[in-house]
Order: sequence, then structure tokens, then C-alpha cells
Amino acid sequence: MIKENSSCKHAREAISMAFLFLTIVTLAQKQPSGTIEGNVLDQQNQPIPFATVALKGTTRGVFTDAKGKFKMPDVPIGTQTIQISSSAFIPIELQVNIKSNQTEKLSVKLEEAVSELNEVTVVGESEQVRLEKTAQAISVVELSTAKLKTPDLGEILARTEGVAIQRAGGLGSGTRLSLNGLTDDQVRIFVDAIPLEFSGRALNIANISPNLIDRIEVYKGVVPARFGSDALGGAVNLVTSTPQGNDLNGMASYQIGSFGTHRIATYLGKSDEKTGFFVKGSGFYDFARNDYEIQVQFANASTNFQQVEATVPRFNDRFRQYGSNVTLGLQDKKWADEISLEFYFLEEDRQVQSNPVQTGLPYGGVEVFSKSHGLNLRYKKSLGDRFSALVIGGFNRTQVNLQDLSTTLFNWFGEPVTINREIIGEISREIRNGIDRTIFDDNFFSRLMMEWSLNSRHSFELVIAPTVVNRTGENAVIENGVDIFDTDATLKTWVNGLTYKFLNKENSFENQFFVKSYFQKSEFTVPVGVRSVSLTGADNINDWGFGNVARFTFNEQFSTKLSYEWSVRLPRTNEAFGDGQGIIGNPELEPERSHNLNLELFLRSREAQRYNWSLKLNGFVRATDDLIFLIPQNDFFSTHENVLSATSVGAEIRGTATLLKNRLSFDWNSTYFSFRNTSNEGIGFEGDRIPNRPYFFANASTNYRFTSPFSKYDEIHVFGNTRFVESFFRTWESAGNENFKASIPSQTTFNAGVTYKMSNKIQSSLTAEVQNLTNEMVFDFFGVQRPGRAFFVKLTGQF
Amino acid sequence: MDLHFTLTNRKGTGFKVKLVPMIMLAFSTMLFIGCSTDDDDDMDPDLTGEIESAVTIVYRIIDSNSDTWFIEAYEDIPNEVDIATVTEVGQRGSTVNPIDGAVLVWNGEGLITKWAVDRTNLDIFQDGTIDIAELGVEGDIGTIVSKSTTEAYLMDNKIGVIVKFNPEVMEVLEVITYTPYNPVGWFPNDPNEPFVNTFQHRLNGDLIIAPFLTGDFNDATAPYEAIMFVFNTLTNEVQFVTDDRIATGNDRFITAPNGNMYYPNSWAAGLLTENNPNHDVSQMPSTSTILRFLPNGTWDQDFILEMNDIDPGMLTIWRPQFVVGNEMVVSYWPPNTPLDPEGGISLGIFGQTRVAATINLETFESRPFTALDQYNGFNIIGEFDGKTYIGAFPAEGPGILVRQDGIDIYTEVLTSAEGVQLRQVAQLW
Repeated sequence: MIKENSSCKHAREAISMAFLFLTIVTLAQKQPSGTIEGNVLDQQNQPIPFATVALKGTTRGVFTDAKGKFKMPDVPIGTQTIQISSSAFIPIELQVNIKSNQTEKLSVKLEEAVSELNEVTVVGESEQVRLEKTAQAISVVELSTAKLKTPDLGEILARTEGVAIQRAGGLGSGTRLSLNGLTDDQVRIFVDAIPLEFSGRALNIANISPNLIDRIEVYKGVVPARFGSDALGGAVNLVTSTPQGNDLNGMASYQIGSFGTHRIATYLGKSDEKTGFFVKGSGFYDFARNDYEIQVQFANASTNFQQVEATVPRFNDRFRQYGSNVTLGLQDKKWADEISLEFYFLEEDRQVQSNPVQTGLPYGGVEVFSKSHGLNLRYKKSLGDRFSALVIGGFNRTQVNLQDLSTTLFNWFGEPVTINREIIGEISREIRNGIDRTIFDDNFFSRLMMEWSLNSRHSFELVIAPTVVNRTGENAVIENGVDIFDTDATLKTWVNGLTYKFLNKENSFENQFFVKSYFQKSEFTVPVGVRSVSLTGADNINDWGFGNVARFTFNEQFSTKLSYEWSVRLPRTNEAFGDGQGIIGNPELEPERSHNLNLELFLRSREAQRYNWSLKLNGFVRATDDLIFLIPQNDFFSTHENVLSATSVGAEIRGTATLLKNRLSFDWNSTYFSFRNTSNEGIGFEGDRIPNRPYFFANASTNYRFTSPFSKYDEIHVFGNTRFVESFFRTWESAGNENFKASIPSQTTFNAGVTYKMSNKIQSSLTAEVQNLTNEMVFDFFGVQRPGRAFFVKLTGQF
Repeated sequence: MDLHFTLTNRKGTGFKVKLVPMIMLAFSTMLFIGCSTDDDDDMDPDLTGEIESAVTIVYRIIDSNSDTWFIEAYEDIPNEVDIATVTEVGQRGSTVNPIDGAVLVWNGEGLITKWAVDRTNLDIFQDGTIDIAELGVEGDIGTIVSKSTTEAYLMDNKIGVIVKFNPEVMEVLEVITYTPYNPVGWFPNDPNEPFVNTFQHRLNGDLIIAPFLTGDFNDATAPYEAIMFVFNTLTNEVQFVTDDRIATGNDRFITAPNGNMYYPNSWAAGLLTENNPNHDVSQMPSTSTILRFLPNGTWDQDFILEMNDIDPGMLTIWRPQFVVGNEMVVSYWPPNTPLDPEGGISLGIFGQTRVAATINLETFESRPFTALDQYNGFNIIGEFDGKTYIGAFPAEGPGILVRQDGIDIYTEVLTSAEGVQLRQVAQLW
């Protein structure tokens, strides 16, 4: 901890450094490049949408829009080879002479493939491949196929190597994301590089509609400095859809299925090249009754208070959320490459069926209402080819209201239990007047990011990212008494990062070194218990970290990566100030720290028509210290403390294969890690596996594609996937007789479905899918059963 | 062959004992013992294979996701804890109640589970449940009181329900309802005030007695009365016995070996001390007192300990700890207790204290109690074979189990493993 004057000095230094950097880079000179644009047509001069246009020998590529148009800026001058391909057409290559600051216009006609022998292999690299070829320790999930199917984003994430998702129910339920063993706030979530809480897309990553996301980037333990954020175990960045070309384009999807599930998502975008104006917006509505059947134990006077097993539908577990966002902007102006303003709102109400371990009577009237609204400003400007600056800022207000005001208790059949009970609320009898508590978070964030390329091999990146969170609260059922939820706390966080990037001439070696500095200041008046005792004060944290990522490509078939970060995770609002429920704030928490190391090997086959395969092996180490641990203070209240050290050593492997000229594909992955307690004092159980989190899990999926079953534009996909999660203990593994220990059983689940897809002017699809095909009883958390077999149908249209 | 030996007395007279019939008699006896049932209570434990006496120790382990309770049964207090063999019986919010030959675990959500202990090998196994959630009985209702092997009680004064059950077969015998004691002004405006409750139920003859933890701890404006819940197990009658000599009370009462109960009043004052930035207890609106409640269910009107009269330094009583003979050990906060570096006086989950005194209950004279000063705090956690056991909590490191061998004589008998809390010691049989 430092004195406040030190922090001001720190901030002044960072700002001074930024302006110095700005001054230097404005003197930089421009590297010549040009632009290619045009359209892709078939032999009948009809546009071919979603064709791939790739710059051969590089990782650059774009797709055509619904009218077959494309634009590829910043192409190096000189003769370049362009590869153009699309399903059901014969790919071609073109030589194009690129001149400095000029636009080369192309009109390309593709010939239809007349037989299976001429079937297309996509030659352009997707953004997934391009990103995974960078030095970053990253897994990328393209959602172009997944968004046609019915699993939610949590399920999609759970199929990614290294990622474990634990769910407390169906759609809208509590979700815990674990990345190589680190979990919860140790992993940061972003939407378009903006923290999730500023995105207005959802309050929980699993609830975001997949149809609004193009790609998921999972950063394993080493988080690029450009995110301007702290994170201990990595980050997940969701990349949303963006407008394609000048024409109106959009997407709409509707999903209906078991347990009263309805999911609607829409997207519209339009830009005008002449004026530079663009507008895009999306909206979503999600609803699920979550009335799936579970097995419970019940007892009453008729059973002589002996427990009897019963299968009942959940009844107070409805989830509903809706929201919208609109972005207005200008691009390609002298004074701005892009400037945009985004408005968004989100509302969610979620009923709560039971306590976290589903014991005792269920809740029939507990509900959580949440609202989030705000705006984001984005400004981007390049000065020549060597310098660019991006400024993002945003304000958000989120309020979460917990209501527990029922005067009736219910049993698992949803029937009121008639008892003489002059207590309001179901969560705790100790709170006699119920709960109507609201927590308000006013969030402000900004980020200045500047990139400076010395030349094509050396570049720098600087990011400055201050964030302020102010939390207040109230409990509406208090009339004259003291409101212990009347928190007033402010958490100011400032993260800076500087990255040096190097790329050798042959593009075979890439290295990025970065340093980050962290500053956090908390000011608070918070309740420290149930007795209306307030704690007032301030605390400062000043820390730093660094890291390096390197990639060496031996050839197109074999590459390796090595990455490391000394990472820092600052205390979050709930940890510092409490949640107004059972968690008492601890403003004096220190940051969590970790040495994160990854070594990745990547092998893939030569590009072939008949089959392709790839294999990625990643070994990792996470050596953490000062982990923030929730320590119960009594039966009702807990507080966070820095008490635990733990080390995770593990490996994840992913393999893909395509056979039969890309019609049959396989994708499987497996993750195992040994995440063990290394604390030698205080907490005990040194050497034990960190409890209550999956440590061995695997996924496998397959897809068979029938091409042109009814016309040259359509496809049928038959797919299935399975997931296995090994059993794990809820508490320390060496504590207690195994025969009586609470454990989460292993699970093996299967999904299967079929998609009919037509790609003409409008790409449309219809999917029917069954999840948890074998109707397994599945648990992610102890005692909380997840949904059984479920049927879904989804209709998607994109133009 | 006549196998025999001769028994003679001091006078030299004797008689012949034939060996073959004797051997047959011995075999018959052994056969009879071997075939006898386990429930023959009159049989010598040595002959039945039963362990003569057993103790259970309750452990609590906390990790980032759970707060778990474990039990283990031993013939005697062990020298060390093998945490790998203990039995997980409950999670956070549980109450563990050893009874004769078993442990009843109340999960706080309406479920009582009986964990029985095998008398021959001390194996622990689940032996029945009772689920009374639909009676609305949930939350921290306090201790289960066992009157006999076939009669136990669980009491919930918040809704006025007493559940009488047979722990031997885990069967509800009777549900007794009464009007809970909720005087106006006790649950005024702060819905988050959880402390109006009865936690520590004690069997005293045929009475089950429990103190009310009362008062508004923000400004000590609660009604000036002490409340004792008294339930007569013979008549099923509930009484609330009040005394207006006390401002606010708490549930940290103790029972002396002779059945008298000692009831302190000043926890609220202590909290006010914590809230008071100057920690000047002389500003407290009430003084600390200790009243005595008699085994017959009445307040002893002739007994009151005014702490201020005994020693102004003991103005703020934290709790009486235990009574040995005529002496009672009390822990207290002295005036002007400084804030600790973490920003407040740590009440601690065990009610730790660093300052205690011994008061003679006849002369009311006090003397410092320093025998456990080397620990950060201490608390009685049970009895076994007539000895009292105290959980002692050093400032750092694991908890220590201390046996009381005299009011000033203590022996460390067990150090728990790191991260393992010692919560309860109780005689199983």
C-alpha cells in the first residue's frame, strides 16, 4: 500500500508517458499500401454471398456480403495473389498489382462445380486460424456454425479445451466459468474488448445469445495488455457481428424448445460509403420457464416426516431477459477513421427456485430483477500506416434488486405449506420482514490505446485504462431503522500496459513483451456485519506485472508457442464491499498473483482435398499466490481474505479432422490439470486438489455435411457431440471418509441434431436438436440437478 | 480317568473339583455369551466386545466453496487427528448434537440425520432421518435436547413449534405448538436483526431451559427484561419467565454443575463499545450484570452480580465461561479496549477473549484468571469422562484441545491439523 500522493504521482507519470508517446509517433512516416474491392458473381451474374477472398501467403481474408461485394484495405503494394472461393464453386487465384494509396477494383466470376471432384476446399484462412497463428495463447471458437444450432453460449464455451462451465440449472441460471482451473473473477469477460458489465448484452456470459456473437477468443493465462485489465487466469473476449459492406445486412433467429424456452435475436447493420455513416443494432429476448423435472426428497405429516423420493418439475425458476443496443457512427473521415456512439439497455428477471444446494423447502416467491443501461463512445484515428490511436469510454448503471417477500412457504409440488408463520420471506427466517434490496453500481471506464509501428517488424502498443465503480444500496422494507445495505463505496482502478512486438522478416518468429501496472483505490462506508456497524476508510493497491509471448513457425505444418505472464488480479467490488447478502466486504484485500506459463505445439496436415487434420497440444502451469478465499464468519456471513496459494499443472489437447472431401468432420478435446493447494500455513490441506471444480473433462463432436441435396445452394448437416466430466469432491480430497464425502458425480452427455441450411441471397437454416439425449441426471454443483432431455428447434436467417 | 483338583480352605479342609464338568460349564458359558444379543445392557462390555466408553469429536473444515462438518468416534481423546477417516455429516448451517450412542445432525433446512456409532468398532453409519421442513422449522433453531434414548426435542421459538421425537427409531412423536414470545418492540424496524432467538437449550431435570438473546443492539433500547424459555417435558407447557433487573440479555449463559444457570446481560453494551470510537464503556447506558436462574425454572431474586461493584475493570462482560466449585470464570472487555490493527475488536466465531477473571460466587471477590492467557481465546466445547474440555485458539496455527484438571490447571491433549477446527467434544456412552 502507498500513500495517496504516490498514486497521483503514478497517474501523472502514466499520462505524461502517453502524451510523450503520442508526440513521438505523430512524427512517424507512412508505409505504402493499397486497397482491393470488388464483387464475386456466378456465371449468371448473380452475386455469391459469403465467398472467401484471401490474400495468398498471408493470414488476411474477408468475406463477401449478401450482394457479393468485398473490400480489403491495407494490402501491401506490389503484385499480390488473391484466392477466391465459395461452396459449390471452383476456386480461382488472381494476380493483382497494388499501387500505393489506390484502390484496385475486381469483378470475379466463379464457375460452378459440376461434380464432386471439383468440390471446393476453402483456401482463405478464417479469423480463427489467423488469431490462433499469432503468438497469443489463445483458443478461438468461430460461431458461424454454432449459431445455427441450439446450445447456449455456456454450452458452446464448455466445448472448448481448457474451459469448464458449471451451471446451476437451465437457461439463465448461475454459471461458473473455469479456465485451466482458475475461475470466477480470476477470468475476465469482454465483449468487443469492453468489459461484459459495460456491454448490455447480458449480465452472465452464458446468457448472451450466440447469434449476436461471431467469435469467442479464449486467452489462456496470458492476457494481451490491450484489454487494459487485470486478470489472473486469462480472459474471454466475445466478438460481436459487424456490418458487411454498404448494403443493409442483418440476421434474425428464433429458437423454441423444451421447458418453455424461447430465444429471439436480431441484428441489423448498414453503412454508407459516401457519407461514412453507419448504423448497427441488435436486440434479443430470451425466456425459459426452466420447469424441467428433478428428483427431490420430500416429507410431511402424511409420510410421518420420513423422506420420500419424488420426481417434480421446477416451478419458480423462470428466466426472462431482453435488451437492445444501437450504434451510430462515422467512418473514413479525415479527422477520424471511426467514431461511434453506442446506447444499450438490458433487463432481466430471474426467479430463484432454491438455495444453492437445493436442500429444504424450495422458494416460491424469490426473484431477482436486474437492469443495466449505458453508452459507449469509440474513436479511432490512424496517422499514416504506422500510428493509430483508439479511445473507448463508457458509462453504465446496473441495479440488481432481490425480492424475498412471500408470506407463504411452498413444498416441492408447488403447493403452499400451511403453517403459523409470521415471517416474511423464504430465504432466511432470521430476516423477519423479508428482503427488498437493491444494489446500484455506477460504472465508468475508459481506455486509450495507441499503436506505433517502427516498421513492418517492430511496433509498440500502449494502453491506459482507468475504471471507476461506485456502489450504493438500499433495502426498501426498512422504514425507520438502520439500513445495513446502505453502502457507499467507490473502487477506482487504473491499469496501464506497454507492449513491444517483433515479427521477423520471414514471418516465422513473432515475439511480444509487455508490462502492466495496476493501481486501485477504494473509499468506502460499508456495513461489516449485521449490527449496522459501518466501516469507513480508504485503501490503495499499487502493483505491476509483465509477460512475454512468442511464436515460432517451422513451416505451415508445425509451429510452437511459448507464453508467460506474471499476472495480477485486483479485488472486485463484491470482494471489497460485499454483496449486501451474505458476503461482508473486506476493503483491505491484497491482489491475487500468479505465474502463468503455456507451451503449445501445433501440427496440421498439408492442405488437401480429401482430408485434413490438426493437432494442438498445450501444457500449462499456473502458480498462484494470495488467492482470495471466502471465509465464513458465522452461519450467515462470509468475508474474503487472502489466504491460499495453489499451483495448477496440466495439459489440454485438441484434434480436428476432416474426411471425405470435408464432408465429414471430427473435433475433440480433452483437458486435465492438477490444481493443488500449496499453502503451507493457515489453510491446511497442503497438496490437496482445490475442491469443487472439474479437473478432467473432454468433448467430442462430429458433423456430416450433405452438399446440394435439393439445390446447389443448400446443405444438410447431421451432427452430434458428447461431453465427459470426471467426478470431483466438494471439499478437500483428503478430508473425510470417501464413502460419506459429498461429491459431484461424473457425467457423460450426448447431443444430436440436424441442420438444413440454404445459402442464397439470404442464408437461412433450420435446426432440430435434442440435448442430453440419454436423459442423464447431470450435476455441475452438488445437489443441483441440471435439465434432462430437451428438444429444440431453431430458425435462422441472415442477409 | 478322573481329572480333578482339590480346593482347600485355611483350615485345610477341602473338596474335589472335577475338571471335565468344569470345562463343559466354561464352554457353555462362552457359548451363551457368544450367542447373546447386543442389546443386553447388563452384560459386561468386556464380554460382549463392546467398547466401554466412547467420545465423539466434531470437526469443521472451511474451504473456498464449502463449510463442512465432520465427526469421529474414539475410545479416548486421541493424540492426533487423522482427518482422512472422519465422517462428513453436514454443511454450513448445520448443528451437531451428540446423544447417547449417536450424533444427530440438524442441517438447518428441516432435516435431522442420525449418525449412529457401532459400539464394538466405533464405525459411523447413517441410521435414519426426520424431515420437518414442511412444519416451517428451518434455520438456526439451536440445540436438540435429548432427554433419553427415546425422547428428544427440537424447539423453534420463532414460529412456536416443538418437535418431540424418538431418536432411537427417528420417528416424530408429537408436534407441540405454542404462541411464540414476540413482544412489541422487539422486532421493530431492522429486518436484518437476527439475534432475537434462543440457541442454547439445556435440559435441567424435566425442564428444557433456554435464554432469549434480546435487544436492539444499535442503541440498547430494548425492553428491560430478561427472558427465559422454560418448557416442561412432562406437561408440554411453555412459560416465558421474565426478570426486569437486566437491560439486555444474551444466550451465552452457562450451567453450573449444581444446575444453577448464570445469565449475562452486556453483549449489547459490548457492541456499543465497539461502535463507540472512544471505546469508553462508562458511556454505556447499562451496566454489566449476571443473574442466576434456578433449576426449578425461576429467577434467583436474591442473586445479582454487579460487575461494576466487583471490579470497574470488568464493566463489560463478554460471557461467563465456566463454574468450578464456587468459582466462576468470566471473560470481559476492559474499559478503553484499544482497537486492534484490523479496525475493530474481533468478536470471533468462538467468542475469543484475551482477558478473564475468576469470581467467587459466595464472596464476590475476583482474581485474575491467567491460566489460558497464552491463547488468543478459549471456549468450553464439551465433556468426557467427567472432565471438561476447552477449545483454545492461538493467534496463529491450529486449534488446541485442552483438558481442565482444576480451575487453574490445564493440559493440552490434542492439536488439530492445520485448517481443521475443533468444535465439540461429547461423551457418546
